Amino acid sequence: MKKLSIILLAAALFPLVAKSAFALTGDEILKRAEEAMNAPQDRTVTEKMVLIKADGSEKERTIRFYQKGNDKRLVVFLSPADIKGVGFLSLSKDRMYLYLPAFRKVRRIASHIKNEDFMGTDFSYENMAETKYTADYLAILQQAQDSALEKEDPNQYILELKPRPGVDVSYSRQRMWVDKETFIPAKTEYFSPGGKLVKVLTYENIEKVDGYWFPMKMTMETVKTEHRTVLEVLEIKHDSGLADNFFTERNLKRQAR
Amino acid sequence: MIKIIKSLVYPVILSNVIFLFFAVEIRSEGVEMNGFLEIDKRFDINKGVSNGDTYGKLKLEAKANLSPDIFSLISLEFRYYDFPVLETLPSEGEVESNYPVDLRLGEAYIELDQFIWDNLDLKLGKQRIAWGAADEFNPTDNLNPDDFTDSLDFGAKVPTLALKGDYYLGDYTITGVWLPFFEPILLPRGGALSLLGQVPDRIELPAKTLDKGMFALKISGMAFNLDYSLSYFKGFDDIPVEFDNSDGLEMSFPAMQVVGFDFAGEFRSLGFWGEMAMFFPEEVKSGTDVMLSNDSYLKHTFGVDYTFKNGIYLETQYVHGFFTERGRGNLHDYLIVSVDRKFLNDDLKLSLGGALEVKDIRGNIQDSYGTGLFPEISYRPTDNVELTLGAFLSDGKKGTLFGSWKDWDQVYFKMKVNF
Repeated sequence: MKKLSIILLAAALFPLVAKSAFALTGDEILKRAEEAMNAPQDRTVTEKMVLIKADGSEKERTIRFYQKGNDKRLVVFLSPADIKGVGFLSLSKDRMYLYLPAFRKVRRIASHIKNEDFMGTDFSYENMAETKYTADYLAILQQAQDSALEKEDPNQYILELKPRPGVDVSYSRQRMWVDKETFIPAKTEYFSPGGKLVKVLTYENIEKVDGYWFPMKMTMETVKTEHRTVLEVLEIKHDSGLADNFFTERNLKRQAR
Repeated sequence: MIKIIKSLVYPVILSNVIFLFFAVEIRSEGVEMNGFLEIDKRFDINKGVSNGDTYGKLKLEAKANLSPDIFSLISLEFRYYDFPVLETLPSEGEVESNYPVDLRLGEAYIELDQFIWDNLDLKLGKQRIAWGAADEFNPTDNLNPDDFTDSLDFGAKVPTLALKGDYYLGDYTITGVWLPFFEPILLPRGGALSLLGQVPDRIELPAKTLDKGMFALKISGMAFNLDYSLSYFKGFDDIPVEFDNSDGLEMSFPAMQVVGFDFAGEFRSLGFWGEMAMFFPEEVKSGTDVMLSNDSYLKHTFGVDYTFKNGIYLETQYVHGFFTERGRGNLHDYLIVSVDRKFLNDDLKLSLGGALEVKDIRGNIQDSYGTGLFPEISYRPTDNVELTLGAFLSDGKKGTLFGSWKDWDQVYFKMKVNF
């Protein structure tokens, strides 16, 4: 009888023990999200970029975006004519270059620009550059703090991201919704140093392409102006063998021509 | 020898032109045509608004990726000036004088990437080779002559015929340039006096021989998160100097060598850069008078930039030696500050630039300074269209650059359409 009681007690407690043993912490979820976004060896995406004002008027651009790992990024504008050929290369947080074809010159740009809008879009230079969430932020799982959130949205983790001590980033905190199955973020809210919500990034149409999950549509909205930038994937390629020396000034000029 | 060079180089440019325009006909999807039309009205505010000049510029650029490793580009620039002031109806022979126009070839080159070796890129033809890390004031940028034809197109250079090779070796790039012919500065219409101080009766160009060809070498690299380059140039100064006044004023272009160093980096998110060039000119005499000493002199530029949290961008540069200045003891000092702020997702940009010039920083500054002020508003009502309203205001003591421009204060309005 005593043995049976122990077995029943163990069986009753197992789900709780198992849940705590297998539950992911906020930092682990953030790491998984970072890995999911940077999963391929490399990625080449041609995207339609639509800038939408609060009154509904639109401007359209086409860009080609190359990424390798979580730090190398190269972006080239393919249209319209007045910014065609403008190129941006990011090799790390403090090593970025801009190519302006009218001057035939690559110019190094310092990281003070990171919080600025990238070429008039709602994405900042920091958004377009490296994706190193875990190096910059500590994540707290919100459902662990408030179990009611789990019932509200059982399919997503909600993370509160705070900058790591001593790290210089543009936002005082971020709130990120991460899909429990794909670990691709579904939405991110960005807060200013004063604590105000300044931007909202939503990820939609998450599809598996070449074995990697990727949002085929992303929308960044600036809350104050209600201006939005929508990125829609036109063409996407993975693991095409982009070498490290693809992400150089030499190739920035070459891709921009 | 000159015939041999011409026989090698001119066909390249000619074949470029023929190929690109032929390609437009046969394979329009492979050739891209771009360009812009810019029209601006400039009001000389010292003389009243009725003296406004109109400048028009049409640039056409055709480019083609002939293969993943071969690229070719050609650009043509067409300019016209002013509205004609007619007293009678012009006849055909008077059209040019009443409606002055310029048509010039901009760039015309072929790029051969991974030429023989994966790490070697070649570029042959008329091209702009921009060197230096500073913003617009680049004392190491001596391969293309200055283009002063448009006073508002500050820092413009004339593309010149060159063979350029870049060899990539890890974090290092070795660049070699050979410019077979010398090409002089381009002056504004009727602007020789204002820039040279005198109008030459004749100029003597360097001989078009192999030994008078110009060449340059540059090694670029990165260390401690700092981009830097070391450069050497052997050629000619693009601004002439008097060398004979016995039978009219004759000017020539002094030979010079330039050793340069530039760098760019950031410190705690503050961008900084610097550029130094040591000039070694040949001595030029007019009779017994030394017009240009062979003493070496150093031009340099140092700058910082920063974007504040509210989006205001600030750039400050200290410049020792303007484009037109040369010779030890003749270089003025300039502090240039510009502030700009963008609004409406970059559609609206407000800029304010200011400059303080000191002719003799060790002497009496109160009698040797000049100032400039350059406010500008630009607005993009839609993609590919830009409207700009600005002013160029200057003042200064006698002998200063800004003092020499003080009668040319301008307010301008520009409209640019890209296609």
